[in-house]
Amino acid sequence: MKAQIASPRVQAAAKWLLLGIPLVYVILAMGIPMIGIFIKSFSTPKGLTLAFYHKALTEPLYLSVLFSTVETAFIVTLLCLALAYPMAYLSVSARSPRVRAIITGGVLIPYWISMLVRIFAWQVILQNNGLVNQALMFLGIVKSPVKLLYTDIAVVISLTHILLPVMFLSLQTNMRLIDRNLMMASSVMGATRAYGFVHVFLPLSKGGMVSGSIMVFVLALGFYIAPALLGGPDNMMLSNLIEISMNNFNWGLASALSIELLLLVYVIIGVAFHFTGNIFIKGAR
Amino acid sequence: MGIGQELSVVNVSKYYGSFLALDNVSLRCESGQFVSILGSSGSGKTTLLKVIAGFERCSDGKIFINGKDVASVPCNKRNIGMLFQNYALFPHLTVAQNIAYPLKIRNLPKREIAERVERMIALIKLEGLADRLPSQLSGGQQQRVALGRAIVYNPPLLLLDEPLGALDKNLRHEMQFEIRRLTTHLGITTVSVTHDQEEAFSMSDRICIVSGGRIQQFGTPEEIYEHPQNRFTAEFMGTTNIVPLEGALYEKQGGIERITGASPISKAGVVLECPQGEARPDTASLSFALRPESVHLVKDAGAHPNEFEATLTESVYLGQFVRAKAQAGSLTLNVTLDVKDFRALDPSKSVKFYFNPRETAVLYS
Repeated sequence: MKAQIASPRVQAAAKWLLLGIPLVYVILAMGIPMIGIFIKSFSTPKGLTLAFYHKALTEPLYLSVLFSTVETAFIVTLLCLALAYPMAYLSVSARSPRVRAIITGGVLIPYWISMLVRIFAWQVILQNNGLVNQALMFLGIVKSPVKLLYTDIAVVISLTHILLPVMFLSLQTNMRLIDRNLMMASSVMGATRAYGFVHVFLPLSKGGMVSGSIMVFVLALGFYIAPALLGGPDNMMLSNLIEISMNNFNWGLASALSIELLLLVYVIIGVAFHFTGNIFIKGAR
Repeated sequence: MGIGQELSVVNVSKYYGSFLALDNVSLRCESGQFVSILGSSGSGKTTLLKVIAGFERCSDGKIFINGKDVASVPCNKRNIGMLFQNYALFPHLTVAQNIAYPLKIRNLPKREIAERVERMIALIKLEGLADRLPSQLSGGQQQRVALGRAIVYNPPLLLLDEPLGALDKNLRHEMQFEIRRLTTHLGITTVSVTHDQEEAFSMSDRICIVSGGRIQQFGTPEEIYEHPQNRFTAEFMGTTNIVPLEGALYEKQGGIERITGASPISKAGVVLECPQGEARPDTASLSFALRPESVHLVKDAGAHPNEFEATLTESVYLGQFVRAKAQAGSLTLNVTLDVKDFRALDPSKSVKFYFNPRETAVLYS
């Protein structure tokens, strides 16, 4: 019996069906609520208004939250990059397959643990008589416990921990595409490993650094649970502010802040694309 | 005077765990020579190249470049040029920047780098493409860049790893001449690893046949083809027939050794001739290699030595000639026939062939 090949029309229909189902889902679950949020951010029962945006962008409290959100996301991104880069590098370039597997596993296995569990673990570790303070006091670095929990330090530590695998995977995927012969070529031409790393490997891993940084930065900007559970009232992030506004039934302000956050993300991605090209489409270069 | 220096590989062995990839290999490339290391995949040829380049340390033995042992010198201090099979061009650097890379490592003044890069681009005939990225070049152009980058710092030794493997056939011929032109022009000692016999023949001063981590034969292309020293080399190079010979009798005749004996192809026995040095007069049982083109049709019976009868079993028309299989006694021989001669034959009858005693290679192993 001959294998049946679907006619072009059936194939086209199947393609649209495959595309269509997720598309409808995204429109229903994301698109329509987004439109709703967008409309709410401009409207009061009395009519259209710019008051919510005016408030979000002029009130010192809201501006300082915006600033500290960007600051926290920026620090988290830098920390993730600094920590994940050497690990990703080793995970692709270590000679022993076991070392490569241990590094990759070491980063990814904690990722499978529920995020809430990890955040509560940080609460235990960072509290006044937690592991960190006990160690600091035992080593004589401090005399009385340092306040770590409910500060932006705790938020930065936990966000870095949570988002590290995102950066790691982005870097690792990119580094795997770098031809190993390039480093051999560099070395046969007389370059030390360090010279080859700086002039060949590092520039070629730029794509992974940019895409990883964008993802971590964007995820950190809108992160809610970690700052809610580990941060203090003095160092709120934008998502917490949105939540508070919602709890106060100030839907208009919550919507305006949400749109502000969304635009911030778009601006960041746009700027990154402008300088590096669309790495999501072009892939690692 | 060229920039090439002599390369000597002396008793080099390489183990991967308990696997012996190179077994006591010795090889000498005189300065300015083009040497091809020819072997099939898994023969150890790539390992040998890696050991010479310094990517792998040899387990035993020495490697001399210009008389200096470099076996324990790291790769980046050996001052070797290398052309990689996939070119290994830096994708983020332009043609000019790629070629400048080894010069920058050597901390040459900027002006000199610019001059040498420009001269090299002219030498590899890529004028006007200096600012292109490798991805904007054709395969042949990329190879020229890789070659330019490998020789711009005048290394005394150039290594080529399957240099033409990634190119299509027409380009391959062009690049064969191009590589040879440049290496001869600079007088650079070149070691090329390849599995392509034609490539090895057309480019090399010397060919080194490698199999099972051992050197089977090292010699000029003519020596390798016409005087294979063992069965492996004879069978590896082109098509040949291996014919056994029993009860060999040796007879010296002015520097030439005549060997007579019984062979399955001819009831009358066969006679071979070889230089005295190649014969081992105490060995009664041996074999010899007989190239298809050395088997000739008998036109006047009785006039030739080594006449034998055979029946043609298969034939393939190849334009210039006919390749056929001839059943001679218990052996099937590959023969090539002139098209006109082949058409004049009666395929139902047996055919008389002969071969010249000198157009054979005596094989003891």
